[in-house]
Amino acid sequence: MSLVATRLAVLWLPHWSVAAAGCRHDEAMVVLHGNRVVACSRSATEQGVAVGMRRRQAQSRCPSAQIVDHDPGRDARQFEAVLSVVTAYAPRLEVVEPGLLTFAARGPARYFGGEQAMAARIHAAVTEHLGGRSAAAGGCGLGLADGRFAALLAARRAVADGHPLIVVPGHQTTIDFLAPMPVSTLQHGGVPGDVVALFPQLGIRRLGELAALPPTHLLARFGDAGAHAHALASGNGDRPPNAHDPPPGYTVRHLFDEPVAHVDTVVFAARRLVNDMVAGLADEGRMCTRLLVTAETEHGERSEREWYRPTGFSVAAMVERIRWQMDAWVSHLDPGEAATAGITLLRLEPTEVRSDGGVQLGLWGGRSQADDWAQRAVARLVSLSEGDCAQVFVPAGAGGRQPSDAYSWTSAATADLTDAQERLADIAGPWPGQLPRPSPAVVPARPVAIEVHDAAGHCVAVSGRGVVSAPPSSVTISGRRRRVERWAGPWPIDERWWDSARARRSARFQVLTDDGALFLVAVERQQWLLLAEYA
Amino acid sequence: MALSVPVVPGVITAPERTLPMLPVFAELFTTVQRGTVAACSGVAAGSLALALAAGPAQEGSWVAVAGWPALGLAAAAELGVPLDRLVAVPYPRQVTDEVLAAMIDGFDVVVLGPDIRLRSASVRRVQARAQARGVLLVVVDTGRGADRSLSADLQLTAESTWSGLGEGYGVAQARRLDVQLSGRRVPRRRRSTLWLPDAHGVLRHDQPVPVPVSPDGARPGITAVA
Repeated sequence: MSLVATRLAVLWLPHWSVAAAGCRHDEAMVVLHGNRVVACSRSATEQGVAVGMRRRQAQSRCPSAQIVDHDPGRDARQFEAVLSVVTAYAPRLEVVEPGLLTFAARGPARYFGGEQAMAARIHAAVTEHLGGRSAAAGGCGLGLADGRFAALLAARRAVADGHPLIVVPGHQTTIDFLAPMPVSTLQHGGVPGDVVALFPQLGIRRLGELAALPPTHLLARFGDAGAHAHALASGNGDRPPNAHDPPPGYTVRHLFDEPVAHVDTVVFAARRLVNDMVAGLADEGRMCTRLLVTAETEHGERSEREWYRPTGFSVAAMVERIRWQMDAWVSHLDPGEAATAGITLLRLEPTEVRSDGGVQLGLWGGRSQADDWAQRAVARLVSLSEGDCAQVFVPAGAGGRQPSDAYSWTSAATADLTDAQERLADIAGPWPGQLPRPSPAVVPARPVAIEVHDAAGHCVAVSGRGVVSAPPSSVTISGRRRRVERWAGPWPIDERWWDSARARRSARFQVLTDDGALFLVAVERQQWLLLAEYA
Repeated sequence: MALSVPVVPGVITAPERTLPMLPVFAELFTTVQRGTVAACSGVAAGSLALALAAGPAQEGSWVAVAGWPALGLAAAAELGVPLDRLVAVPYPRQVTDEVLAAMIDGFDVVVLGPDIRLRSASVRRVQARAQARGVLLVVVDTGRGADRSLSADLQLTAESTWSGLGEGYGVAQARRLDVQLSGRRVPRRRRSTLWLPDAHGVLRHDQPVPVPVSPDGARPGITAVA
């Protein structure tokens, strides 16, 4: 299996989310997703914060760090500006995710007088564009090598070196470059994590040791994943197994009757196109791994972007990328190429497909026919709300101490309905101070102001040390006064004290009224609030 | 899926005429007919409605919630509703007749939240559509202007007793509900005592403990103490 590998360049911005959130060079910033660190600025790294840590752990290491929520949309929009910088040197880019892009190196290298010169120019341009944010985000890595995987590893190493890393062309040099790398790097090439985790247990620690094994043995033992791992380790695996150019005829397009200025409307049309395309590919047992998205406006402007995902695109993943592209284009982040009129054409073209392992509909549990019907029904609901988007919601995990914080609603138009694990997974984590079960069934989105009086008719107060002035004897909720039968509390809670804008200090009570209703109330800055009702 | 029965709108095939219910309702019903309108009222209306929806949802049905912005998702999960099969149009203003119709067409269980108001013409249409499509329609009525003009096939009203809570101490742990079931499809009122949940967080109904009686009428193991 000896393929002529293409020269590819990979540009990697390791902590892109931090730069996208606007972190200056020596600020400490931590980006959290589901209570875990997904990116941190250099200053935070120096104080011991690492990706994957819990929020609490990160804060104990670096108390001054600014906490920012993870927002893939913001990352993608900001990344568009970087893309336009690189496009000036290499016109045809392929975006893997915000912060990671690939382009073919041969053309630009010839034009700019060699790979060295080209890499130095692009590196300098990107660093200059980012300014202080580049240092904060841990630098910018540019790697050139034969094949995608080697270039990706070169880019990762280039981040540490501080200058572009070029692996000399040739099969042997690529193998020599890959051989000392740990096998854990295979994950970046799309090998499943459980397979990668097995190799060290079998005594295989370096890619060179893996490449020395007979590929047939790996195929026999680990199946496709093993063969793919071997191909990557021996410098052959430019593509995932079974990947090939798609036969023509899968390109789908949508002409808008009237130019559309609203991104949501474009995304909605895109969802239908994507559904058609994925269904067409699925009928032949294929799935798309590389997608070319083209949009045109009334004035003839074009936005063309290629997206790559080694494991293949689901419908939701494609729609998300189209949204990123449209958001960035329409929101004028790059004045040179921004859309000045409504969008009239949207075209989606799969440029690389691979055979799909397939999904077996579950006989017991798992994915079922009902899920398919429900998805169609959700699509219909979303279409009814076209123009007034985001009125159809599905639950998403958020995590928090208050009943209103544990889950949030997220728009059904962009959520992945087939695999909800990811969006619901994030509530775990210990939340000290959370009230025990059962949880209240009615949780107003905003707390409602109420009054709580003691037997003498005075307003009940709670001191800073958590002492109640008198037992509550009545609560007045929306004008209706109810007698308190039993009550418990106060449970003080002091949230986000490090952030003056969002800090909350309150004392919670459970109050059982004479009509059998149980309420969760809180006093915050001498104002009583109704948090929830156990209806 | 060669085995699945094609579903023609308006025609419901025999094995699919009922929807399963949680075991906690065993004293009241084990299944309900598709097309049933169940209304929940009283102090525990929200929890009862979620528990009703949980039965079919656990068997793979999807639940659509209309007009209930204050729905507590944590409570829904605790009452057994799988959150990966829940869809909502929370704001009552946006729940138009069209949206309701789409919900009834697409999902097995539709929950009408406490804040929803329907015009009387819509009420009839919604009810007829739910019956034709075989949808369980659950209405939450917290007495705050919810629509009472839907004539309910099953009407659940509960009185609740909380335990675990004292006068300034403890925390609410368990709730006993005395549920009364009435409605058009219930010839005789029925009652059941449910724990939603009990002190161990389990949903169960109070089983009347059978007291063994010996032939001579005296209870075994009990002797008079002077």
